[in-house]
Amino acid sequence: MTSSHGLSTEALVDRYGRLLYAYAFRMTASSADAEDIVQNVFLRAMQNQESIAQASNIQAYLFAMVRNETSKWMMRNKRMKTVEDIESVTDNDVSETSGIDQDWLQIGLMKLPDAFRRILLMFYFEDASYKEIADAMDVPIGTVMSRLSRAKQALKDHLTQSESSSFRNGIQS
Amino acid sequence: MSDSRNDKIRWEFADEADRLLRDQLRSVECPTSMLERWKESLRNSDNSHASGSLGPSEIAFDKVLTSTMVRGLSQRWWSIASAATLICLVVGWSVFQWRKPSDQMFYTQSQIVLNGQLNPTTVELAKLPWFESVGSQLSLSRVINTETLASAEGDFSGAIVKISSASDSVYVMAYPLSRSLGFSRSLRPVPGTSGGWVMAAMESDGVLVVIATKGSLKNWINVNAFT
Repeated sequence: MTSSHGLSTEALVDRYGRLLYAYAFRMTASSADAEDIVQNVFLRAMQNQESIAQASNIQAYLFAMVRNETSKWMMRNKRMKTVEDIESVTDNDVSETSGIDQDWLQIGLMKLPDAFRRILLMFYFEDASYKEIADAMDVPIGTVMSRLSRAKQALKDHLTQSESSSFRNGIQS
Repeated sequence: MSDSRNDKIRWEFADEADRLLRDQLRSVECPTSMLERWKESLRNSDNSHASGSLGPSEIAFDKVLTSTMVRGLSQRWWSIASAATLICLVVGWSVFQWRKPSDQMFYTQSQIVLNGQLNPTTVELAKLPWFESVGSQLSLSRVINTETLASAEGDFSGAIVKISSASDSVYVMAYPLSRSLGFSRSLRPVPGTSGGWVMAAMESDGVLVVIATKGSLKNWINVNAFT
């Protein structure tokens, strides 16, 4: 069997590590947890080299693994992080080069319902189509479009409004 | 890239804000040291699999996956090994429960030493249960070929825990007793030098769990907790 990419697992770390970490961090708002999640993914990738080798799109495959690991993490961490928790970890974990307040951005993300946040991140990180998201989430395309639209709008509203905005009310209405 | 992906709706950036949001979402800093830790973890894991059929990660996959027969044998081997490990764990746990010392500082059979210097008025480490079953307290998914673990449960509030080991593959996790108090925390494997150590500040009451991966049992692990 010939690998479609011929990359070693360590090469995968170099190529995809940062992006996967960013994705996991956006989902968890925890640097330590994101690091653990991505480490798990790479360990599993090493154990499942055959599947990786057969994957037509290795980035999508790895993202799927991160999503899976993140879901497990969410199951284990039923307690939702508080805004204070998020603020305490975001200070050192995000780039300061942006024009957007990264803490505020992360808080907005964490306020999104999990399903919305997952769709949003699939869209922004994986450049996934509606159909791909719908297949991955096992929901109709219309639901994906609706949730994505509302999530984007809610996040944009959050970024342009004060902390006292009725963010969650807006997304759930 | 598949044809379906060509048909999909790609980024068309309805406005500049969309583009900005996408860029900002991705702009999480991932230090190079983190990438190195992942690689180190992969190498450690690789070493622990040295007797297995999987090749080192440095080998490209197309070279690893050359024989269906080898893979089939490997899967069978791992199934047998997994079953044997499970049986050993169950038997070992039963034996340990039977022989468990009630008031001993050292449990030498496993060559794991838990030497407490925590405020004696708060915790009597000698009476703590050394070995906990994996149970529901831990997710061991990140640790491959775990052979044993030791834990100490008690009031580690504010304590500094120092772990030193001659092993290159020691994972340390500090779990709060009440999960509502904080998050789990894990430290990276101790770098592979004799006497390497890590230090962790316990954030709350917690269970200190030292997980020794395969190979480390031949060496020693020393845990000191002090305020």
